[in-house]
Amino acid sequence: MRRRVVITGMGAITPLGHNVRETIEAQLQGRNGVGPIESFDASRFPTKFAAQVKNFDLARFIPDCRRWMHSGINSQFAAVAAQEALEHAGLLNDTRVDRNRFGVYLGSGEGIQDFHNLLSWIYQAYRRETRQLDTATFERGALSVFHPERESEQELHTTPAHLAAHFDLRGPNYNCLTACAASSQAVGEATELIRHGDADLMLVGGAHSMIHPFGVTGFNLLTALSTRNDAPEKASRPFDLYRDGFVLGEGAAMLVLEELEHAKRRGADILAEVTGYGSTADAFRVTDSHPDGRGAIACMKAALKDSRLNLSDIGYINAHGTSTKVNDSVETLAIKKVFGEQAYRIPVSSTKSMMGHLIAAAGAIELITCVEVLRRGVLPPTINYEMPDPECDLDYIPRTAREKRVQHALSNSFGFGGQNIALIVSRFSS
Amino acid sequence: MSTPSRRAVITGIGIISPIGLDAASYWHSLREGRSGIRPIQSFDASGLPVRIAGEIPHFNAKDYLEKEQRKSLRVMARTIQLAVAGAQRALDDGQVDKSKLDPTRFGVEFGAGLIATELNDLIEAACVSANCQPGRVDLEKWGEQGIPLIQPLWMLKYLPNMLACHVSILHDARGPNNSITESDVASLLALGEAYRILLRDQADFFLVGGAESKINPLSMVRQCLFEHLSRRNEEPTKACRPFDRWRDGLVLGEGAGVFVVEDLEHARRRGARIYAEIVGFGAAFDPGMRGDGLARAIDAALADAGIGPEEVDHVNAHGLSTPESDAWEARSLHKVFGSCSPPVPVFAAKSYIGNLGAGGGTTELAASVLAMSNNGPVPPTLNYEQADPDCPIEVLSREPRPMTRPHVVKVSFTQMGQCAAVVVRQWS
Amino acid sequence: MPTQDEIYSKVSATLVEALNVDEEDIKPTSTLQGDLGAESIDFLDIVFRLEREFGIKIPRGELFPESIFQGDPELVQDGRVTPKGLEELRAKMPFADLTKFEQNPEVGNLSNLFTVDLITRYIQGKLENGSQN
Repeated sequence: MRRRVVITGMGAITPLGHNVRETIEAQLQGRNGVGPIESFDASRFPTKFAAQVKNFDLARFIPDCRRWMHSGINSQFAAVAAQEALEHAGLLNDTRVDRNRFGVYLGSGEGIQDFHNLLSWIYQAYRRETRQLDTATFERGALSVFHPERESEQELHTTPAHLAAHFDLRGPNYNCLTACAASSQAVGEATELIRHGDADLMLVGGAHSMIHPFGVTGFNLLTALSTRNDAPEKASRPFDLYRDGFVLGEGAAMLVLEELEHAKRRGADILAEVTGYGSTADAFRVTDSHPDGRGAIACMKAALKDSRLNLSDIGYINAHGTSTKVNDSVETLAIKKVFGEQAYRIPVSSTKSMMGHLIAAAGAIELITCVEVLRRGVLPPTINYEMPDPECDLDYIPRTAREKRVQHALSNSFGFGGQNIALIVSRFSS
Repeated sequence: MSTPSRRAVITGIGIISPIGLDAASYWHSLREGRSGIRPIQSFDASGLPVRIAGEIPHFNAKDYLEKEQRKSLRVMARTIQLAVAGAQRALDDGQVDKSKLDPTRFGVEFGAGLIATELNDLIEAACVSANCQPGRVDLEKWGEQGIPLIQPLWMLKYLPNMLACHVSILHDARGPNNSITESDVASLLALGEAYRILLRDQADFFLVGGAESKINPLSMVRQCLFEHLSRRNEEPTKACRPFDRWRDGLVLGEGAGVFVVEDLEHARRRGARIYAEIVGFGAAFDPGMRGDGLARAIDAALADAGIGPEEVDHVNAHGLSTPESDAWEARSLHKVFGSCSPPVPVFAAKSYIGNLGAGGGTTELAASVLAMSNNGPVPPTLNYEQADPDCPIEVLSREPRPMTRPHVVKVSFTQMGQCAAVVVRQWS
Repeated sequence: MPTQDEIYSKVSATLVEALNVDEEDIKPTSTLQGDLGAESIDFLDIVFRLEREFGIKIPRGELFPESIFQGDPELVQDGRVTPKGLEELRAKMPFADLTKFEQNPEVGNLSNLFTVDLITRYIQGKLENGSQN
């Protein structure tokens, strides 16, 4: 009998709210988190809007936040969501649990580069006469203006390290960055660590913000972002015929995973059980998904096999649903290949229509959405779904939330580069 | 859930390092005691306080790719190219016939780090937007005129999951695929994860390792600002001296260390040569290198392997060569192995190649795996000249030493406290 | 104004660079995806290189329209482009030679329109228009 893994705490900070409750309630009201980019002047960028976290101030959440003084906003978001999740689980200051058996596995993004100083020194070190960069000039300049701590905080392992140090979590500590699949993969692999016995508790999730000049530049160059600047609130429209790219979101989402007996012993409130995890690669192309959706199909099948559930058990799918042409049609195809005729009976929605795409953190917030579906019996809608696309013909829960009692929900996450993750959460029953 | 009958064995080693571009030449250099630390040649480092590194002098990624695959090189930063090359060499070394592998049971796990942009990619965009006031870019100009001057595929060159992504595309590996981005402990965590996935029967065959290059102007500037780097610019081969009393900081290196790891039955069916078996893994966190985190990771790995410390031949150390890090590591090793008699000595491969960051753990471990399969001897740690009373361990130095016990423990950790340990058993 | 031959040879040099193919692999009728192995990111790269090579601006979607029919049932039915769809195609890609496609207007054959010759004619049109202004 393998060890069972349950969820006993959740936390989030998203474009829709500063905690799980606010975020979920906004989702169920079909509210939109997209607006003009405020954190920098994007007025001449191809894309001028994003789904941003509003009125964020770390000190309001964590009074002694010196540790994050030089951190990027990604790490600060992580701190807020982690604190909520731990508090929710009753583990913030619990001295009874063995902190050595309490690890961290994040799928968290990079910090934010010093855009202005980097480019200024590239400019100043460029020699027009030789058409070359004078590297030594760049080095001396950059050394004089870059801020050591801020540079250090961009590193990818700093986010999970801060959480572990601040909240005293001394078990295995990981960060994976598999693009848009990252935090789902973190949840899956952390589940496996608990099943195997490496830990009894894992804080898992993701944090990311690419709403900064380099991030928007990079995605704009790849023409991956929606450029619907005249109607940003309509821009994220997964599965709709007139979708034209994804909308960047930002934020963090964290969950506490716990071995079932451990949770029972300490009388924890069990929110749901992680029952299925599947992980595959497309092994096809750098950005295109395989046209037959082979990796997506394989990961959903693997998760179903892992969960030992039947196709008909799945009552809701939270889609990856990015609002790009290719993702949404290939994902639809893959769901149909996996579920056959039943696909048309399973409600599918993309909450990215409201929150935008949280990139590395997307999977974790979408898993929390699934847990809340199990708990509340209400499915969040896909907003902006107006004009059906013949290639996307499932039930996408258009525009308004719907009541439905669900026992098992599936969440998909697919990354640039071809990593595919599917997770299944189930209502807990002993 | 582990299937007890399954076992994970190492059957191929791919090394791209400052001292050799495949496993055989890497081993040869280790046997010769040849350091790969030298003055930086690939760019003008004269503006930096640190001008030495474990740089790979003659690396051409084209040598590792079929002609029709070379198109991808334009979207690969050097770090990614090193990974792809290392993976190819691992497959070569393992004499793997890819046509006989089941793609859906073929996984890829890489340790990876932050990849710095090549400055040249941004020159034109910088020049149209950054000339107004010092330290400020005119974002309107950047948005309107700058962005169109950047290559459209720019960002793809620098995404950390692209190591494992390109490897999976090149070799049609459709099984589990992960990119662990945990600084210096990344590739060891990746190895541990792949090992567990093999045991729980979700893959039969893995390319697993790590790669990183920080030998470029932007990464070097950043590292100079926040890492404790050795300033021994005048004597590069003496600069990296793990556990030695006069160590003064770490030396950056670059490279890739990739293993073929597969289920034992799978390896037997294809008639593979087996180097060693992975038998234990453990990980832990230690806030700020003060406590017992590293010792706990080792204890967990030993317990996972079902052995005691006295069954370990040597420890393949992290051996960063900074004063604090080595002292804490030595104390931690002493805690686990201190009561063993004869003592369990320590080998530090960084003394040859420097710190390969996310590629370090597996590249360093390869030295011990090669020693095991060659029936020893374990190479000496370079530059260990005077014992440090703060490092209560026996360091393998000066002379190669034959292996006398069947296990090696490899440890890696980060300066923020993430620790991992892997136990490898000699194959017989 | 460069001649058509000059344009063609610059286009094929661009493709050699972008797609890492040999010059002798490139013929006017070569299709970018089928014959030369281009994938979607390559189209971005090719456009970027052509802009630099010829000093022109190629608006997004003009040379390589990403989704010509948006799944509109008036333009595509049962996987085939309707007469109205063909009109739309002519309007969006006046530089394309549709004679062959019209014989069997399956959506799956659309990618065959994107040939080296098509790029050459597009660039020629661009340069001619530019010199008139």
